Amino acid sequence: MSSADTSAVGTPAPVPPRASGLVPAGRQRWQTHTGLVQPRKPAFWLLLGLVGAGVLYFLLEQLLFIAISPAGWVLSWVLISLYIVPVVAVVLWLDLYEREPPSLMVGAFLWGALVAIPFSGVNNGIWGVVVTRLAGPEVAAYWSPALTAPLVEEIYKYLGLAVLFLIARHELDDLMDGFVYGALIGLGFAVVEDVGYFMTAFGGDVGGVVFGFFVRTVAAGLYGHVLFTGLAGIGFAYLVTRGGERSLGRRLLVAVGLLGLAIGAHFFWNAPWLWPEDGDVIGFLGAMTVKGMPFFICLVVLLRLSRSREHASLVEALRTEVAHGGLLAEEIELLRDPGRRRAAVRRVAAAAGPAAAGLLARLQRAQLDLAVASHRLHAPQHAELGRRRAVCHDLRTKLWRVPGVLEALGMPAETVERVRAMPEPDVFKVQARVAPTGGWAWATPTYDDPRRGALVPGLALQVMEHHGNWLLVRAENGWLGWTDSRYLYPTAV
Amino acid sequence: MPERRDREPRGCLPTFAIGLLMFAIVGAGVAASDALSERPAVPVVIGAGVSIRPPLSWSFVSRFEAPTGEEDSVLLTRGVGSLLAYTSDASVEAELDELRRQLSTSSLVSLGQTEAVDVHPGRNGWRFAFSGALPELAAVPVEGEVVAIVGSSVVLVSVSWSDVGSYELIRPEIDQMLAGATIP
Repeated sequence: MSSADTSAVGTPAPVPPRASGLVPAGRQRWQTHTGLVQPRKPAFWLLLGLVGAGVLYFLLEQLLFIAISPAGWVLSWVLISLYIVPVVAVVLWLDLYEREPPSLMVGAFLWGALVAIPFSGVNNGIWGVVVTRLAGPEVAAYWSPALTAPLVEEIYKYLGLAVLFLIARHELDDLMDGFVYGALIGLGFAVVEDVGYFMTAFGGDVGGVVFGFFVRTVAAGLYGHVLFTGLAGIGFAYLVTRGGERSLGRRLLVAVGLLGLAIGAHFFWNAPWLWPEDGDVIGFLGAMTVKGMPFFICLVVLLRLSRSREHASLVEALRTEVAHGGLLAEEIELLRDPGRRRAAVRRVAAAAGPAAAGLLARLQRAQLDLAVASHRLHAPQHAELGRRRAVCHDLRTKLWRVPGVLEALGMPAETVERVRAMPEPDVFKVQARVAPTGGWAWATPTYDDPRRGALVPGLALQVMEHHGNWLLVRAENGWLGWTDSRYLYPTAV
Repeated sequence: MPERRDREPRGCLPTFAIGLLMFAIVGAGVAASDALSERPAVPVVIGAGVSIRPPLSWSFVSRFEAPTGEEDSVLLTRGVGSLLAYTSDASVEAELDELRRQLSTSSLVSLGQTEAVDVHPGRNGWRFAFSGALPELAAVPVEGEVVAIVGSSVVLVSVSWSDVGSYELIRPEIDQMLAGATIP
């Protein structure tokens, strides 16, 4: 408590906002995530400009494909959609604990589809000419795809990771995040590239498109761009997130090593080794397995390592929240193990019905979100954490009222008594109102916190905590924020 | 209590560096390609000491068995047209007769007269044109020609074709390749 910014005492509060700029407090949420749209960041404008140009390139290419075969083009996009859905589902499943902002995930996909593709296409052509001039057309025919594409394409996809990092560096805070953004860049690239292959190399007619889909997506879908850029993304995340733990040299070594591994995997895949004669399906599947499986296993191992690290961080955050009242010590063992979480939901469903089981599932999700937010924000007094703690407390109170739930959860009697002694979270008591001049509220009790919102005059508030002149206030709809007491006047309760 | 601030660096310099790198890779490729433009094209060896130098617009496709024998043949393409080249130990008359016989098995193909041509300096050559739908090419109507150039110990045979109406576009490049061929 005493660690709050005490500069409010004796410091004039910032001038209240003009009436025209006032925002009802309840309509806003303190941002705990950064979205893609960051006009202050030059990287955002770079991405926007390149995506805009990429759209033109994409449209021209698609018009060409439509001219080749309208039916084949439609079928290509229908079939490739069948690939997008499971890949995105797996990525989201792996990103279980700390969901990335959807806008950034879309940005990653667009970079792969609309930026990396045209730059790679132009460069593959130019560098292919260099290979031809140096080694002749026969060597170039066999080796250009292995000598140019891996280097060019992996670099352009990798630069997308760097751009996303520059736009929203706080979102890239663990190895899994690097995989998520890398995999989505790779997915965007693979989707547009595959449609191009279906319409050109495989002829573009319906039969060719179906065959191309089988070869490139069904049979080889595990080993393509999602794998390559996912690997490189983990390395990039290691570089930018382990600053306090590992030396720069080591982080660079890991990042360059994993980018090199991605390039190497791509080179090995594109090299003319092992591919059988046309028509040898068994040989083809065998070659794909030999060429892709070692790198796929490597990716799975890295993902398991980053998942276990993320899990350890989550458990630590859960423990921190016990100290701040967001969680009960008894709930931690349940939350840290997905199997035990599901078993608890089943027990509650059997003992107290599906509605109670639904409440428990919501409580668990809210508690995990609270732990993740707590880990991200590094500020126990952040108003957003206060709001989330209140949500958890509210859900727990409702759940525990259902007969049979406490027995099913095996909660100790003393814990139940302690929690029931806490104030009812859903009872809103008007203790103050915003002065006629209006006021400001902050995410944390600090004037220079840029996360600031305006308070409308007369807004009814409940005071949750005091720190000198700083008050953690709550609006009737559950919104919480820190404000200066000089913006308020008390009301009779 | 550590208070996290959102005062992130705006990242002007790294953003500029990324944009620069993206275009620098393109520029480096163009510069490297230009620097190598004066270098003589690397030849494609067909066999028996015979080689040709395809222009950059032509790509190597594959090697496979020649249509009239066991020798390797080389298939090149430039999208709109293709060139199949191989060598033969047989006499030029026998080679051309065999090709005429093979092409005329399809009633949809018409053949022109065989005539002497001066394609390669110092070497005798013969040429005949053909047009029609070749079963080997999915019965798509094409036009093209067969050229045979006689060396001291070997005959270079080229079969080139394109979609109907496009052959005149690729013929100069084919003649250029044949004129520059190394034929022992």
